Amino acid sequence: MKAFVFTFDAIFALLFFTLLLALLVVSIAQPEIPRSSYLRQLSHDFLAVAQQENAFVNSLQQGDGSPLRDLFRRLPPAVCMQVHLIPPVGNQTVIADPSCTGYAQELQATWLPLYYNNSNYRIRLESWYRTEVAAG
Amino acid sequence: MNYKGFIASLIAVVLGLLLVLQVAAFRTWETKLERSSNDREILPGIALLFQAVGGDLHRLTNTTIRLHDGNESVRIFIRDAVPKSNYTPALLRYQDFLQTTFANSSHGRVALNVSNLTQGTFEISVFNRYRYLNNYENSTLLFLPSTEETVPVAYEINITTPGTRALLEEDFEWDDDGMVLTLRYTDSNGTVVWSGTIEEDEESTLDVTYADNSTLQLVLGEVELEGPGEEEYEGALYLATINASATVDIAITVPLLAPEEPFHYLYPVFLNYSIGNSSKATYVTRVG
Repeated sequence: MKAFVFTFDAIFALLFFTLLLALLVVSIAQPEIPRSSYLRQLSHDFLAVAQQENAFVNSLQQGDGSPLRDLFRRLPPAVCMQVHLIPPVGNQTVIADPSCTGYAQELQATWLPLYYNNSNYRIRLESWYRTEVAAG
Repeated sequence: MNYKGFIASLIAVVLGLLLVLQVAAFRTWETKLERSSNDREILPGIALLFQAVGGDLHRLTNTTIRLHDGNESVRIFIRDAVPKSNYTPALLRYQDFLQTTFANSSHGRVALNVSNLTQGTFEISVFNRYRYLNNYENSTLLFLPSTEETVPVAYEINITTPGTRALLEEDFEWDDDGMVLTLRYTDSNGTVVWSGTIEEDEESTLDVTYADNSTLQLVLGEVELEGPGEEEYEGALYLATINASATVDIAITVPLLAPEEPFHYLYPVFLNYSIGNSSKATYVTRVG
């Protein structure tokens, strides 16, 4: 029996296939968690730990950023972070993970305030995924 | 004309369209899930700001407070000065900084109300049970339990002053029961220590007069506050100086908290922070 597009058998096959495909899509397909969400969670965790350990104040007091660099060493290898301590006047202090060079395309920034030594600082945490170094 | 084939093909096309619609609906759901996930991710950032402001208020007001929750006791540690330095100008600058410079940087909206701390008295509420006040205009310090049931178990007090003692008078209401007291007083003449148990509903006093006629007074136990609403407290602490200065370290052991009592101290500073579709508005608290 001919139809104007398909034969009847083919239509049944198509129907069966369509139903199977629909079931498959609904049961298996899951929305992928964006990489950006993971990076944001890491950034928040880093800031929470840094606050708890008073790393920002200690870094300003010691003047060398070592408390924050110690925290960078605890990060996963795929992630880079950098902290800017921005005073109300004068130059900002940038404390970076020495193993990270440059930025990646996806850069996240998180801001916090910091009162220290009668000055109001802004903390800017930048985080990104480490870019792979091209071989040879 | 053969309609059966036509109808069969139509059914096939409709089913194909249903599949396409289902995929489209799934993609829409996925996008909505991603958006709500973004909003949820902002909440920890908001909590971080509240934590940061709590730390800033701690440094700015120059009163060190720490809480300790042990298995059998809860302790409050306070380090402060009498007279307290006037932090109001710095606090108002901080308020302005947070609401303008910081808010612009973070692309959020910030409102910080510090008026309760700029009227001459530094005040916090601890566990919703105790009030700690330090009035930097009249050089008085107070620790006030809210009820008889919350009277402290013990006080450990260190007072250090640079003054030269001319006269020291003490009148402690020692008893077998009451609050355990360890008091260490140090000035340029040396250190005096008292320890024992004092009654929480009687007035125990230490009065020191210095060579320059400045004075320091400590009252423990029953403290009466004068003024429009005269109030009487038990198990309280009062310290006042006239033309003298002192540093105080106080460790207060208090009864265990009930489950509904919060383990934090609260600044009477209201912070409202919103970013994106998320916001939080409440008083700033800290554990220390």
